[in-house]
Amino acid sequence: MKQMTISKQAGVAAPLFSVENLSVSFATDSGPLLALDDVNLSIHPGETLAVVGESGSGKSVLSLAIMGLLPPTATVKAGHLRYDGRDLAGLDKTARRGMRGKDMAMIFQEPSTALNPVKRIGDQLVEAILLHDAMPKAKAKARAVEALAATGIPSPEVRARAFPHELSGGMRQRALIAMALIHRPRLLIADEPTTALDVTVQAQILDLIRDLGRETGTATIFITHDMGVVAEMADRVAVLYAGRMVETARASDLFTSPEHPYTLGLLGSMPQLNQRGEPMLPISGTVPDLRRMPSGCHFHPRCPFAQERCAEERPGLRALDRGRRSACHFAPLLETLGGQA
Amino acid sequence: MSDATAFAARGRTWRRLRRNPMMTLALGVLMLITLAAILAPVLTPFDPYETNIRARLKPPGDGHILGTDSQGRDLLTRLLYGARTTLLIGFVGTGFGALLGGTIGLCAAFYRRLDSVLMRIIDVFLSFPSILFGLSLAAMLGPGLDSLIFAVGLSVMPGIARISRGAALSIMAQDYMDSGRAIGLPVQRLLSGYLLANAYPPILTYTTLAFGDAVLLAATLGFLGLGLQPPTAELGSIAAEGRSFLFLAPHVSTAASVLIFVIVLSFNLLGDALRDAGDRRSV
Repeated sequence: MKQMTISKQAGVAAPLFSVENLSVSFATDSGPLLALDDVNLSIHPGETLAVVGESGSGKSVLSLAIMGLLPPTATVKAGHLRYDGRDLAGLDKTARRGMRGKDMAMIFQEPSTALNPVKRIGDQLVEAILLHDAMPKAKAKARAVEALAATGIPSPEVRARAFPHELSGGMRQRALIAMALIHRPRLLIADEPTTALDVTVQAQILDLIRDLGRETGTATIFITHDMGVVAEMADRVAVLYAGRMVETARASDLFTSPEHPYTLGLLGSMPQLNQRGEPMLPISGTVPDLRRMPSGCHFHPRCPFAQERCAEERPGLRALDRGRRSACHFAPLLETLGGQA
Repeated sequence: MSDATAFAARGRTWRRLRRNPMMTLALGVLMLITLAAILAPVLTPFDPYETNIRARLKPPGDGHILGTDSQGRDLLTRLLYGARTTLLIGFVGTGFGALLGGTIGLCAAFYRRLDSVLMRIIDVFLSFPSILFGLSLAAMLGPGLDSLIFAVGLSVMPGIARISRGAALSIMAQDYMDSGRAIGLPVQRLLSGYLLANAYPPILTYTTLAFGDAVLLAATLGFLGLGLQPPTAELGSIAAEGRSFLFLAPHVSTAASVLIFVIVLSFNLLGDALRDAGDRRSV
């Protein structure tokens, strides 16, 4: 499997992983709460897909659902996860666990809490190695040090003997990346891996994820709310809003002509260094409470273009040109609303 | 306080423990008593069960350091052998209770579906005063070392289960529990290497405090005659025997009671010191 050649034309090859009509709801004291509503996405080998959205948009639930790590209060209401053609719903718990860390891995948001504080870094890596590969312990140790070295950690032998609290945030994140990529998973989920880091370290970590991903041909689902990171990393972008997918497009298309007012808002809230003095265009209001979701299009109360229809009719995700899809009644925006926008 | 510094606090915990003189004293006393109890056959020339009617209720001194009891047996020897039994019940009982309670607590935190069922069962246990609970169990099971250990274990278990669940719940909320699952760790390794390894400090502290309760309960059951039957030496029953001669020979009950007091106090001091040293609020 690992030796399989990866097709360069991502558009032609079958997707490595796809999420089909996924709906996830949480049981709460005040009734069920729909965190993901009919989400579709697919990713091809070697591709980087950014999943973008504000806090509460369901990004993290999506990543946990993909990994099979949803808390017991969550239920998958509908939909399928397909990995390499296999439906993951058909697998039992043991088989699913066997995939974690080997076929799919995850990098977490908080490097300070994602490592077991009572275990040395090297031991955690060795544990991860031996879980999926039987080998002598000494060999596993050597491989752990190699993996740390590959992430650019200085003097990896020393760091392997360190406890997590003895490392800086950036180094911990490197260790976590080493751990996630140790079995060369074909699917990597990075859940806001740079949010907790210093700006200078952020760029290094992004480079590292990209380079290692390229080396191993890993498909990366990059979860973030930072459009700057998206521009840096992504081949394609999926925008989530309040549990629904509102737009997908190639990254370059998304930045030049977003086809959903929410995406437009996200881009407008990005600080622009080359347009100093011009006002930023933040999105007014906040993400709606999942328990009191607005009718029709979830975004209409905050949307500058909203019309009556938006409150009544839920817009489906419609295909536009160049593989773009948007869940706005008025897409393509420029043609429909040319004057206003 | 971040999690990383919590681990760094561990070294500090130990340093603070050693700086606490009460803790050193309590630990020293406990080790001394335990050692003396274990080495009882070597330390004393007397037989704890051989009676000597002519030497009944002798006051301290004159060959018998603590005097003799109503059967003319050397009291110090009886106390050493009694401490043996009482400490054994305390240790094994608490160990059994901690194992059971810890498992229940960790499982309740880990398997959230089991939580309410397990905790309601624990609530039922907790609603009995531990003396009453131990008494009825000992009465039901009949006298004997096994049933005593069982009774003591079951009465310290609910508290330990509660503490373990609380400690484990706060660890369950940590990201490393998810990241452990994300690398494909099986449940049993998550429970031991991740959950227990991080949640154990408060459990350990509470268990130390529970030792004191367990010893006290064992002695109480002995005193009330529900413990081991005479002539077996046991601190509680020695104190009870001496009660009949309280005015004639007060040394019998007094010595046994003081020994129980010292053991329980030492465990409590030790537990308090552990708690203070591990207290993350007072860093």
